Amino acid sequence: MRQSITQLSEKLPPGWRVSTSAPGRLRLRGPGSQSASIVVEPKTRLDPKEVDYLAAVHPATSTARLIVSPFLSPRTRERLKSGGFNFLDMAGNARIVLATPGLFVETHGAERNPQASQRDRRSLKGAKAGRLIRALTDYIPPFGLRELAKRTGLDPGYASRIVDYLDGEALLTREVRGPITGVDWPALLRRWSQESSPFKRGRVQWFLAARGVAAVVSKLRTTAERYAVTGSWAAAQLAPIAPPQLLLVYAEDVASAAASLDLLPTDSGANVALVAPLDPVVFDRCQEHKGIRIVAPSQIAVDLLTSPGRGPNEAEALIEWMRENEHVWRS
Amino acid sequence: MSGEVDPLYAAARTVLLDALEALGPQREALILVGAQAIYMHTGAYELAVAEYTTDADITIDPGLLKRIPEIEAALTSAGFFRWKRVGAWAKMMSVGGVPAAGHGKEVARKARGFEAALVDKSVMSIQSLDVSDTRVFSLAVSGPAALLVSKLHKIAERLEESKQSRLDDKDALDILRILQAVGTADLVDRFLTLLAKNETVQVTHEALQALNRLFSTAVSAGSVMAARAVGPLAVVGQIEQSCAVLATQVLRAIRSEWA
Repeated sequence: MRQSITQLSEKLPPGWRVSTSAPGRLRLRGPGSQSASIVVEPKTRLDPKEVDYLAAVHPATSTARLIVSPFLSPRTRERLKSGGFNFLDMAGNARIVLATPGLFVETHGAERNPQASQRDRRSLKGAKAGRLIRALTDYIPPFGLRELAKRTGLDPGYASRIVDYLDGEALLTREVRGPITGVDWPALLRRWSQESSPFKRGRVQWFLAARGVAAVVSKLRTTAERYAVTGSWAAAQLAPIAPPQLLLVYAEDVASAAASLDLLPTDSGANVALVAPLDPVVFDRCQEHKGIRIVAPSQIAVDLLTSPGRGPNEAEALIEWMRENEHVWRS
Repeated sequence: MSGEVDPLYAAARTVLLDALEALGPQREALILVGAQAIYMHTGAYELAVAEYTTDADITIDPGLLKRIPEIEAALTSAGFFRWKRVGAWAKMMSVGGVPAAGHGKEVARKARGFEAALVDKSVMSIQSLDVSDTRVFSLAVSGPAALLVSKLHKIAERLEESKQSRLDDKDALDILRILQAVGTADLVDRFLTLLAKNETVQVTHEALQALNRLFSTAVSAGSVMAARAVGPLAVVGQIEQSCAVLATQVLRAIRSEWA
């Protein structure tokens, strides 16, 4: 409790004070005679999924509640915020919104738990995680773990661990020990993009096509190279976005593709980027548009989320299109 | 390119067709040069549409001129009138229902570089950009090498006179668009033909020297002008480097054939 008081006082505007008014209760006093009572709910840990239960266990009362914990992950905080909960952790994260008296406090502290345990964060960085996430997004639930493992060619134990983690992060829903029943795929793609990007890792090479992107696209129509277009150009074939400046292409053999597409390596002014894929999953469920092979919408979205410039904005526009057209790209 | 044609451009094409119709058999002596000729070659690439590009510039090959119909009489009876300067004709057009200023059809003067159009040319079919107009005419159109020769002379002259303006930047961008749209081998063949003829060897040589001086590096004056013409949305370095790459490719290929 004392720690909560210290942490909270540091964040309050000048003229505000906090003190204990009763066991488990704090009084927040503002300038003048304004004050509010707030019930403290301590949690040793709070997973994103558990936020759903908070409202169920304590239906709305007139007293404000403050969830306090040693650490609240970004995803947990996101869910607390959309649930309208006040929270405070010991790592500097807080959000308190009171109507009477009027008070708004929002601070950002540590993004990672300073005392993380093995359970806390799973890496979604590698090729295997990518294959799993692509399948979770592209296929319509329900499906069981075994089916998922089979479709992705992954070890069921690994699939199970990742699915458990995603479940805890409220990125998917499943019946207890049963099939996956729903996937929050926009949030899943955003979460994946935090760790996976063709632009990180030095797998991307930049080129100048002196005759312009249109000339390269023409050549792609008849090339024997194994390729798939992603990024803005691919998105523009599906959702209306501004004309793409950069052509981003996965190519199995970058050197060979560069030669056959008449591309010159360049440090600046590039209009084409070739990426050697980390995993052949980028070629899974490709589509053809006007004779050009483009990656699946889920792959375009994650690549755009990590693209420079307008990338993230274009990703959101594409995700919007994907929401409205699930029947087109999900199977 | 969205596929939609600027109505001003469509009107300009209609005026050209009106003139071609009026001139009848004299068409065989005409060669389309200038912006409309460039558009015939680079259609797929965006061409900056400014007032001047709506003019149709035509060169006459005196050796092919027939005795009749007499040009002035033919144009006048089709509603054209002399306008602004020697050799220029205009016709009033309404664009989208609003009367617009006349767009001129100019018979080329002895401007440096136009003689190349008499050698590097091909017959193309000119159609209306207006769906309701079904007229089609065959007309000789200046080839891409000849277009480059005259543009390069124009830019070089303007730079020498230090009279550069925004319009000249667009000329530099047109040069890049031609280099992008036409294959190197094709362009080199045409240049070699121009270099092989007495009447065009000197003017072509000078143009290639200008290409080298103004476009062969990313910091050359022409490359910089072309980038400026694209405007603030251009990716830094992209246009300039494209100029350098393509100009150097053409020059190297010509040098190796010519040596």
